Amino acid sequence: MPISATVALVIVFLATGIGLLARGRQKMSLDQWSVAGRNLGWMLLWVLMAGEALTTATFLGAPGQAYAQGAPSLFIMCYTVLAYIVSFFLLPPLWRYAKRHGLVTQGDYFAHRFDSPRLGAFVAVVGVVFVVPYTVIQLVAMGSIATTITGGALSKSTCIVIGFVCVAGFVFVAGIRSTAWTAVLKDILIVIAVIIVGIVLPLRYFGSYANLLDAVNAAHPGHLALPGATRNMNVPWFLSTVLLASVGFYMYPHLFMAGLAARNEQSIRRNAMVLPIYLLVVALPFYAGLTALMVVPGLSGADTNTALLTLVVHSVPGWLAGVIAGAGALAAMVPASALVVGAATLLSRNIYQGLLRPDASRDTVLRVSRLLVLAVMAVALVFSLTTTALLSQILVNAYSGITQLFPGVLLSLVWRRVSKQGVTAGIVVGLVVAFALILTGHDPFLGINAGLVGLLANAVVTVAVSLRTPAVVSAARLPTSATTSPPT
Amino acid sequence: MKRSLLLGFTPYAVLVVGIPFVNSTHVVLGMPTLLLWIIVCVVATPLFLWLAARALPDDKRK
Repeated sequence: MPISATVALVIVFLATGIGLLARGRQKMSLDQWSVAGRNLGWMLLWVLMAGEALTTATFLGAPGQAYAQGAPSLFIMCYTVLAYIVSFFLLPPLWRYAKRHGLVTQGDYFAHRFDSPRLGAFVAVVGVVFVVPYTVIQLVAMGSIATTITGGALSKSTCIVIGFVCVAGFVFVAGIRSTAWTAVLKDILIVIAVIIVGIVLPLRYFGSYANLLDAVNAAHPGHLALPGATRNMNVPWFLSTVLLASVGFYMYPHLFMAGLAARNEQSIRRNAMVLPIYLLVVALPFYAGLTALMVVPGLSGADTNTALLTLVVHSVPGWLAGVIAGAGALAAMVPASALVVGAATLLSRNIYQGLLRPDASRDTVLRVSRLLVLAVMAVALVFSLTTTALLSQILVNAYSGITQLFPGVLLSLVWRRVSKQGVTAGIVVGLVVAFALILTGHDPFLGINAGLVGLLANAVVTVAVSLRTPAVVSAARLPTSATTSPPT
Repeated sequence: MKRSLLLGFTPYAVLVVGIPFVNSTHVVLGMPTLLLWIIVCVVATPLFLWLAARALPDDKRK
């Protein structure tokens, strides 16, 4: 086995070991497992939120997209900073409400706010469904990493299964706390890796970024501006996708829950203020992808997902390739575990316990959670073994789904009259419109992201249906921010 | 609260509105203009959020 693969495996096992050891600290209860007892200090929370936000999407997906499509790959950095701005205003009232009523998940939130366990369960299902593609991205990435560094010795499927085993392993035991400690390791390594691929390599091959970009402009005219190498991902696509993802970002179960896990409101706002600086590092993979385009041209289709690693293997000694590959593997494993924990918590708490067996004991719910971790991952595994899409495309489609929860969340915070029927109808309409367009090949629709089209339909329907149905909710369940006047 | 929202969403609005105007293959300071614009807004965001935090009504602040 090449040294790069050995080094990468060492890193993966190290991280798994840390994950398993982290459990020793305290007795695992359900609260501990998913929200770390509401006790996360702001620094640990920062690591957790940044670590989950900088995933495979920015380390492998973005360079792959820069290689294949060019300028459209800048949408990730753009929507992320906008999402931080949204979080500054959106998360604190949610946090206050959740704290007052002892809520953990978005399923809890909807169930309590609308006095409807069924709505909570429905929201939980939506959340889980859209965690799957996001998890698929992580597993497919693991497959690409391993395939590239072993030079094809192990099949992609075998590598995906190995990744699956590692993630399931440490999630199964310690839940969110293990994610936090492994995230520290992952963040250190990924920053080193990104500096190498995004600064050292481009400068080594081209001397300066300007030279690199001039070379790209000469060999691939139009690649550096929208729509890049695509036909239809132009300015309207970019704007609509960025708008969509900026409000959908914190609708992801693991990020919603991480927000609720903050120590206080001030730390939420502090994170929003500080995270943009960390985000600047995300520009580096863009240069890495362009360097790959010039140095190892010729990849096409789904193989462009391996652009970055192909460049790495071509350019650096084996042991260093192993370190970078290991960083990439962690960038997949850590968010995958947080995603899956979020999904399993939703399922066990808001469907199993919330709807089916309200009097289940805490230990039963914990055991059910653990089984559901495996179930969610098994579903993601099946899709990972069969998909051929660009990682970035899976990401955009996932956002088209999860963002449909946003109108309900926003209106529930600011308007008393929003009803459970309104929210339900809105989510259903949003999902149907978005995915009807996507599945019939109409994304972008008239140049605009299909998910955003669905979102607009969603908002209209939510308001319209709410105006015609009673909002049967006691004053105690209303957030203090909600007013009686309809949204203007 | 309204002042806070306006301050906080200023970089949001500016970034979004500027996109059509910075979409070109020109390279400035080693960046395509689109990336340069995004980075400028990313760097401005903490400042505006800090101002937004200061503009929050007293009961919401620390």
